[in-house]
Amino acid sequence: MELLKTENLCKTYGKGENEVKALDNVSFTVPKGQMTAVIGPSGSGKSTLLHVLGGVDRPTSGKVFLDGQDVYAQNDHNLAIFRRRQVGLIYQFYNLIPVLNAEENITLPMIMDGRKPDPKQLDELLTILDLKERRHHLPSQLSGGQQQRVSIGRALFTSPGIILADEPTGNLDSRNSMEIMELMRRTNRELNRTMIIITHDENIALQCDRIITLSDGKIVSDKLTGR
Amino acid sequence: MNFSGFLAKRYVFTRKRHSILTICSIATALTLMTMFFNMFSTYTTCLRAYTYDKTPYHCLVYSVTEEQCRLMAESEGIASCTLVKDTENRRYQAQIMLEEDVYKDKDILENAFKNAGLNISYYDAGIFFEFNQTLMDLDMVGVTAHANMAKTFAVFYIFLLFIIMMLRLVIDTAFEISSAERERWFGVLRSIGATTSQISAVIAKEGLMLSAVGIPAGILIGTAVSYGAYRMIMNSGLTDIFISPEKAEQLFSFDADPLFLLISAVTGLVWVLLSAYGTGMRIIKTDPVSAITRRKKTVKKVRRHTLLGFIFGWKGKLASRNTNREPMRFIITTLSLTLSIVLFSSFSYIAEKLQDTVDTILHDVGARYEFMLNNSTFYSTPKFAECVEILESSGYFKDIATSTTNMGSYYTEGKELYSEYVDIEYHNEESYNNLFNGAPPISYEELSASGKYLLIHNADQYDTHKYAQEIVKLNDIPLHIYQPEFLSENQYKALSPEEQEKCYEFPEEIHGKRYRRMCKKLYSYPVYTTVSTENTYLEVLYNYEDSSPLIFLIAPISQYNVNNNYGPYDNNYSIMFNLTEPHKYHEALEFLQNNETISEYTELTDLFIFITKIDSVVSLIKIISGFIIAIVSLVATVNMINIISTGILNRQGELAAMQCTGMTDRQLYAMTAVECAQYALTSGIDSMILCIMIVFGTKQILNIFELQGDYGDLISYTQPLISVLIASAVTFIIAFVTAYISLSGMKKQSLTDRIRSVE
Repeated sequence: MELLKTENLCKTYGKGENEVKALDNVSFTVPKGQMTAVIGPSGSGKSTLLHVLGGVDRPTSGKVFLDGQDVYAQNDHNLAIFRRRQVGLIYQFYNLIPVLNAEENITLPMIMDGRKPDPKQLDELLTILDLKERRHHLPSQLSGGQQQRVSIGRALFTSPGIILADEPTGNLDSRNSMEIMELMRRTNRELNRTMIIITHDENIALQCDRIITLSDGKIVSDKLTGR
Repeated sequence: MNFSGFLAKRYVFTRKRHSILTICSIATALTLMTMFFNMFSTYTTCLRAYTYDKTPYHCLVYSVTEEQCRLMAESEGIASCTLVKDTENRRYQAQIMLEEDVYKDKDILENAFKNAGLNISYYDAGIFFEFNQTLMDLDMVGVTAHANMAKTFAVFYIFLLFIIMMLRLVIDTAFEISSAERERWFGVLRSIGATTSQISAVIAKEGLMLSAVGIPAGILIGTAVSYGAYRMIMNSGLTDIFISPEKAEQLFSFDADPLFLLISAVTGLVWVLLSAYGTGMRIIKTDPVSAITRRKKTVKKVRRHTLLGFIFGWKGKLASRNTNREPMRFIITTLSLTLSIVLFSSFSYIAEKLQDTVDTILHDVGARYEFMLNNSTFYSTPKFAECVEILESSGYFKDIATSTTNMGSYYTEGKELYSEYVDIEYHNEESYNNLFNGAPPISYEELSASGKYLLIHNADQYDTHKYAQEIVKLNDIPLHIYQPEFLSENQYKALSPEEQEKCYEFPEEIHGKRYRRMCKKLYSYPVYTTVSTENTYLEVLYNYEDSSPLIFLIAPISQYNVNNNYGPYDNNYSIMFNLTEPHKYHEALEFLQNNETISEYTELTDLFIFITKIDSVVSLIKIISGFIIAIVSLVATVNMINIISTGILNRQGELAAMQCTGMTDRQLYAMTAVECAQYALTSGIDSMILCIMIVFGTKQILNIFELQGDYGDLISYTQPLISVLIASAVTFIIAFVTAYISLSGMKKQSLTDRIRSVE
């Protein structure tokens, strides 16, 4: 059953001579529960694709459907609500809110949605993330790995339809990278979460179910890893 | 160019926004400082010119000859000696000017007197000669002048120091903002081998480069603005208080003292270097690793529950924590805002009280109107209607009101009370409303329709009403007044015997007619008043201590037109009016003086100049206090705008992250609004507390000097607090508009670009 579908996605920046095609007719589908890696050289359009899929950046043309819903048919207000409920974003540089502690960063999307976080669910998640002892620490008091785990927690807590990660291990050492990937695999496996991970690291890509390769904004290869 | 100069230049040119912000801050500070210096030097120059024009000497020696004057002029330390005649044009006086920078004026003068053969000692001042101390002070001549000018400068500098300290905050904030952004960058520089002194040099040189633009710009703007203010004051007619406009233009000149401008520039430069040095020191204290990783070594406690969080939910909590990131900056800004709000509140209250006091004084001395026409002789024919018509048709005048003063006895409840004056006044609508400061107890239309009179008395202002047993607004009671009436012998004979008993022999000629009798005739006036028991009212009036009761019966001018008279005994009548266009004063005055009817039957009392001068002094005080408030508020506002706008721009990546995780635009603006509200609320609450303390303290002082009580409360708690509320609301609006503009500017970039800015 397909969860995500893109149709002829195009994204261009600049005009005239300065026009750059970041995405060029990108079409693919992702079934529910699949863990997909998007790889490609720098400037191939990976991050742009992630932002377009996540409802952050409107495509120049083409469509994105999530669970059958046309994402960009919505206005900006509804798009923000869509992001907070349907998408979990993980960044290389974590993008945590420095004035909120770990627990508050994780629950922020839910609080923004006017919902009260379930303490039991939060406790379970903090246990999975191994952050129980650090729940009241500010991001500046956490290590890079811990900050990324908080970022993953924030992406998971609202149980979104899809999790999009932009080089989640790009800023971490190998031990922390392994831990984070293990965590993401567990999440994918145990919670059946659909994930798209952008990475440069071939080893990380090989841990996914499928690898899409982008070059100059186009899909040049789309393979299942056989995992 | 060495390493630090190269880096400083690079930073200044590549981070244009921060450079512009810092230049603007330096220029703002310098503008204000230059304005102060220029205004001070212009004030002293004008005062010197005015004093010299009136009394062109340092010392005036009475009764001297031409030879004595020549000998004194030749003495050491004497610049000139001019022989002039005294005011009575009888004897010659010597106007002596001392040379510049004379300190020992005693020795010089005694030596000059001796050379001229005058047996005068320095201590004979006031007997054989006099000093013009004001001019001596302004020219810094003599021992006393040095002491006096030192005092004046001390007061000026204390005030200036206060302003300068606030300006320092503006410059400091600009450097702090740019340094916070570059902390990581400096960490990297240190990690690759830059020494702490090199880092300090980078910041200091950057400060110098920015000062090279900011300081001259500030001085130029400050000079331009102060010249504009000077021209505005000259054109406003405020100088007319002292001299004629032509003379003012000739004497009062704008003065931008180069020495003062140099002091401004040096002070600005010192502040910039101190700010740069302070910022550099703070950055240097952070170790390179912490600066690069932006991780604090000290564990910061997170306050989980905040008041704002409790009130505004998560948006309040976030706003509160954002503010707590830079607590010192928040405290400094709210302190300067508090100060400007308290100043605004105090000065506006003082200005209002001053205006009230002046209005009361003008009212009490009968200067409610700019002009007054009174009957020229006791028995002259009034010709009221004609005069009013002439005034109305001339187009020069407005607020035309008429009044007659009638002597009579109040009679009520079957007994005659006291013989006092009753003043019956007829007003047009504008004048009627002016009489009650726009809030009459009964409207003009209603009073006109009723055909009644409104009774007020001169004790009203002293709260006499509180002695009345029952106070009912606008009770309808008649007031009986015995008025004298002049009758001819035939008219007298026509009276009843009871009426004839109230007549006296009065062989006088009035208005060209010979009357034989003056009789007391009873008139009943239907009146509106503010008390119900007229007996109590009138007795209280009579028994009122320290006040001679005077009853006023106020009626619309239409009442007069209907009756075509001004009361039974209109021997003292007045027409009061104001100028429609004040600049046509001379033209209007000429019209009044040249009009035959007016000049023949009336005497003109011209209060225009008096009222204008008093109003000008009040305006001058208001302008000066407004100027002080404007400067303090400007500094506080610039600080707040700096902090809010850069706070948002520095956090754009973070705000983008929140938007990516689902924060809507509305939520973003709401959070920002709460942040802005913190500034307004904190400074508003602080100001309220401060104002309450000031009012309480003032009340205690007034009580010590027994100034409270008799005249009611001289100051109240409520009025300054209303100003505080208004100022806080304005603060919030400015803060939110700043935030809104910054957010709108930020949103021009896509979310993707902003999120990438974190990387």
